[in-house]
Amino acid sequence: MLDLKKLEQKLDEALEKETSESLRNWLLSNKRKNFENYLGDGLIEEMNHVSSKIGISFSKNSVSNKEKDSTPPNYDFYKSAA
Amino acid sequence: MEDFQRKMFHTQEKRRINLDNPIECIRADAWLGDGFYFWDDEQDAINWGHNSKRRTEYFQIYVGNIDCENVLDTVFNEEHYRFWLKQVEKAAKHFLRKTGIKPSIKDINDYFQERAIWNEVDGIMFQDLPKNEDFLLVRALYYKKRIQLVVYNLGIVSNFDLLKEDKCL
Repeated sequence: MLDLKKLEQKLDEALEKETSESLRNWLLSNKRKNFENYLGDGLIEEMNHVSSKIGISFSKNSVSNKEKDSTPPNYDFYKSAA
Repeated sequence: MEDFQRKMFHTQEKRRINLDNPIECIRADAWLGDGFYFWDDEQDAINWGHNSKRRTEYFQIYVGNIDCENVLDTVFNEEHYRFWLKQVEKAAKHFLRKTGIKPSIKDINDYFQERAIWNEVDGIMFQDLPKNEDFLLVRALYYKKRIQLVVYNLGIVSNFDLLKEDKCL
């Protein structure tokens, strides 16, 4: 049988020890691990940056790349477990 | 003496060889963290096969006996449910206050396992509600719980065997 008091005590002690920095680091590390699991096994190839002198001008109503890239990823379509 | 044994169902895409053991789910959106996921209801396991195990066009349903003595049962055990709810909300408030980030339920469960070291918890049973009225026999109320179990300790699974397979619709 599970000892719920013991479980609660362990959680309280763990939370008590956390600083803002340690908790933030753990959370970001956990999210990174989850994202890497989502990507799956394999090597990630680093892309080379290529610079060019060609300029692009946007019309008044166009959307800038910055605006496009700032859209957060939507993971809502992934369903629940397993 | 209470019987903690449950027969539950594990869904996977059909592979070239049948499985001897369930496959661990490490998906980023797995509610209850990394573990071996089972369904309580065979029909939910079948629905999951049709909807989410389509990679090889066929899916398989495995059945196993689970020893739930050290499972946190948030579905049928009121004490466990109230305990789990309290711990989840306590941890979530702590995360939000200290980091400004609202955690996911997976973050919270990962934290329970990794930082609070809840080694003695062999699994967590949880429910949501089905979202497809086709599987319900009455209209307008999702009366039927969709119950899942995540197993962290594979030692509580026995007699794991293939039950059936089918082609994805």
